[in-house]
Amino acid sequence: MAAIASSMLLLCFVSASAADSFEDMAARAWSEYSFKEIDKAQRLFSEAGKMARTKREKCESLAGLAFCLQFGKRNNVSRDDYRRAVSIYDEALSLLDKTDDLRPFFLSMKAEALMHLSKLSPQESESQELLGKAAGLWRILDDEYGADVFRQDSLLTRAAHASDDFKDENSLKAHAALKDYVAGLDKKDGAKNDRLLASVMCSQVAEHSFLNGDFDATVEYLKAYCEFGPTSFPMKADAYFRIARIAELKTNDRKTAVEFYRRFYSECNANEKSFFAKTRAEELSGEKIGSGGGR
Amino acid sequence: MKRKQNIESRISVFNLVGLAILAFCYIGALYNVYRIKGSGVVGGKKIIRLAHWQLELGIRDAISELARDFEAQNPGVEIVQIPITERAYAQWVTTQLIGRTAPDLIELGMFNIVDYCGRYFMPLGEVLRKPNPYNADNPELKNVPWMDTFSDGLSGTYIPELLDYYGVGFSRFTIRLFYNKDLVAKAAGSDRPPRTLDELFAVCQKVREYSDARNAEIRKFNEEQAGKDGAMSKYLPFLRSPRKSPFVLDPIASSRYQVSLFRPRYSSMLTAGRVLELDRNFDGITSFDELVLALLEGDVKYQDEHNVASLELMKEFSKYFNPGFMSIDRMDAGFAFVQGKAAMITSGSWDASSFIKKINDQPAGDAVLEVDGAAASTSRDVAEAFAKAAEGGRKVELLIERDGARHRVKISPRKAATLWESAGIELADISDGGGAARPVVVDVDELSPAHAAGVRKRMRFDVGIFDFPLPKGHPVFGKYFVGNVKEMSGTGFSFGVVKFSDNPGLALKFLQFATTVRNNERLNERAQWIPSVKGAKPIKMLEPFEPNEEGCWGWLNFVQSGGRTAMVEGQLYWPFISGETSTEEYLRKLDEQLPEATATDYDNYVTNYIEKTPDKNYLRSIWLAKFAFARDDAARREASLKLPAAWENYLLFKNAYPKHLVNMGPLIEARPDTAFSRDFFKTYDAFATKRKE
Repeated sequence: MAAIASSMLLLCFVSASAADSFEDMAARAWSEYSFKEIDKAQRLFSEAGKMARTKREKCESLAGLAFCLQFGKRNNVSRDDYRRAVSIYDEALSLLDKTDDLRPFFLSMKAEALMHLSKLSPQESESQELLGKAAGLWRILDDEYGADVFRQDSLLTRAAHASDDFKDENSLKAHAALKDYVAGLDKKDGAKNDRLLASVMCSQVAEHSFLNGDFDATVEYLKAYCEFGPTSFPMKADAYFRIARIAELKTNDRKTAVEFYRRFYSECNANEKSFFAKTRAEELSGEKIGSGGGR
Repeated sequence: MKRKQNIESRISVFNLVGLAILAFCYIGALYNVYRIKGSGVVGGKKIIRLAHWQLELGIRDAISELARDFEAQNPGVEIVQIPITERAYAQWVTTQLIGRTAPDLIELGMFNIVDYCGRYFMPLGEVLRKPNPYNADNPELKNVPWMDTFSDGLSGTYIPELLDYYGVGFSRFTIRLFYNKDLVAKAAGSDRPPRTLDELFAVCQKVREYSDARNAEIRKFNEEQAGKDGAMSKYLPFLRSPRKSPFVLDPIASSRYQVSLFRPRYSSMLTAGRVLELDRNFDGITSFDELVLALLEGDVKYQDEHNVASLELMKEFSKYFNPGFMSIDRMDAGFAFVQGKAAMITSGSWDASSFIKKINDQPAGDAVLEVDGAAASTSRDVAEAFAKAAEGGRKVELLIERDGARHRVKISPRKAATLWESAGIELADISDGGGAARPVVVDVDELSPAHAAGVRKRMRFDVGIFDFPLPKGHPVFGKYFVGNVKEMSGTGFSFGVVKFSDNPGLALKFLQFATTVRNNERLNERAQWIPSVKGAKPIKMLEPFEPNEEGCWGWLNFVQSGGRTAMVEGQLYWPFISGETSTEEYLRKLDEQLPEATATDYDNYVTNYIEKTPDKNYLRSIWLAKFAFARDDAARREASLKLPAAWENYLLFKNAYPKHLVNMGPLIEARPDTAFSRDFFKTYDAFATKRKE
């Protein structure tokens, strides 16, 4: 009796939650994906693929399936997972033409999967071949999609994975590419998407420069980071403070130190370091500072 | 045979009845869960449930009052408050969230915020970046993003791992010292709060001396009483002359909890300068890896004079704590203070109203209205009447008032110089509730004629609140003093909106309603906490809790929270602070045991970053996909905000290993010739070998 009742209730729940369109199914799949319910997400992406009516919908379901393989297993992604992800990206790319806005996304993702696959490859020759394929895709991105968000994403991927040794030539090259990208941007105007990941590029270059002992570049790129727009309030506070400290203690740039101590005090007033910032600004500039007005 | 069949048939019927009851209850329970879960509507009303663990006095009333106002403006809505005890809170919330029966609003805390918020709570960043609609009639705030109307911009509720804000805080909290003004005045001669560390220790010393003097009197009395005992009283205790109980009064009520408040505060005042010196990446914080590098390179030692000074200072404090403070809990320490068994205690503004209410709920003491039929208006009148009666060898009749009722008591005073020696009572002229002052019994000797006559003393007392006195100018600690501690005025008592709430819009609306200047001020006035919204004023009693805006931050802490170093140091610190081991002994043991633990924690520190990196990349993948397949402008906008933040978070983890190579690489090669380095690398190398295998 109880079993029947509970089964009926379960049936109600199931029928109530059934999705009836691609949008609903894809939304549920991404939701499960974001909850790290990879098996469920995979199943739902497959279902969504069957319901897809357009090329874009088909691509979305394919991207979901590939992401489950490439990112979903987090620390346990196998060579086979990457291989399968690459073939899914190929399937998606075969649906897209050159003008399609999703093409750079799939090119970038495929390149990333190939790069990871190359790292897992036991043979040097195979590894180099896979890396060469990835480089080929990145070249397409560089040549054909200069300011695209997915090219920006791929530039960061290349810098992050070039080498764990920040002094290594590959790492220096990859970070130089980030500098080149940022150098060509208008910090204030210009298309918003062109600058979408510029602040991250700047913070990465700053970190890379700092660990290589280049304090002038660290300050320069942290400043650029602040101009492009920090990703959160705590990150902004952190950048202001580091600029001021490095300028004061390493590059002996008193003007920059005072400016950023002041900004820290006025914009990050609730922060535990704000009084210190005020004191340092006053000592370095010889001027009294009024009360901070920001957070 | 037939009888056996009858019995079996009855058992079978009983079984069926039992099964039917079970099934009925089960279906009822399922229906109930479904009903609550299904719509959030009960009895035609939309129910918003709100869970928290704040059982302190006034909080529930404050929320109820706010809820009633909200309901009045929103007919058909009911706010139901679910207060849960602190001990069961995490478990209860977990069960409710997993079972999807959780309330709409949950106070954030006690559980793993990062994990739970990511899974079960709504990100609030987007709505927090827009003005609070309830501020529409406030010219100063109507165009200000909701998050910027809070004193800290809600920066404390931003979760970097999740790239968003998840809570809205109602109050702010700071920590202060509470003191029993009456006791301090009696022991130290003035109820003025100590302003310097020297003054604080002087007050503690005087309280200790006062307590010792009282106990010396008691011991002397008890010895005299023992002298009066006959031979038989040794075998028959009821024949013994009465003895007095020891007088319990400690300068500072404490427990591990209180030590955890004192230690960082005073350590920061003495060691914050070293934190800045050891900070390598110039972010103003000495992270664990930076500390390890400093230890390896010999830039800092456990014997660092600032560290030693801060240890000695805490040891000095612990001399004035109650015996066995390490084994009692926070509540017991609070009771000791409230009951007048300690002159001071440290705690946060969250305890202020509870302490004061509990103290004021205690007996006010017998007020003497008449002595032998004549009105007594001052303590002196009473003392004189007692002196005369003692001289004449007669009894004194008092008319006393206790809890509104009047009683008459007769006391036979002894001839003595003071009222205490004559009748065993101490009086003070006290005005309760703003009326005229009158003589009130503030102390009664437990073996006195007054006690025998049923006179009862005052248990309530005046409470003072003061900031941690500074070691500035202290003969020992003064030279290490860096400055007061800048207090983060971060918001607490924060609520998150549960993702699967049936009425998330209404839940959010309630949070917006609660955080206008007026409502936040009213809520906190009732709760007796500090408001979190800019412009909302705290009540007068809480003014001493206003955060210090000037000062330093951070302290020289040699342990990694939750790690092996924390465990080892904890095992050594408590015997040290309780006086079982000396400072030298404690430092020697740190030298012996902490390098190995530090190596373990450092290895875990780096490994943890490496292992979590794919997880951060996973987070990036979510926003990358949301950006690529956004269905509308709002979704694209959100992804545009989150994708860079996800990248930055990912790189923070991805860069940890290169950072390790840059910083630690040369040291792994060079092996600095220090005892710390030798012990550290012994363990570190073992991990490295194990990893290679």
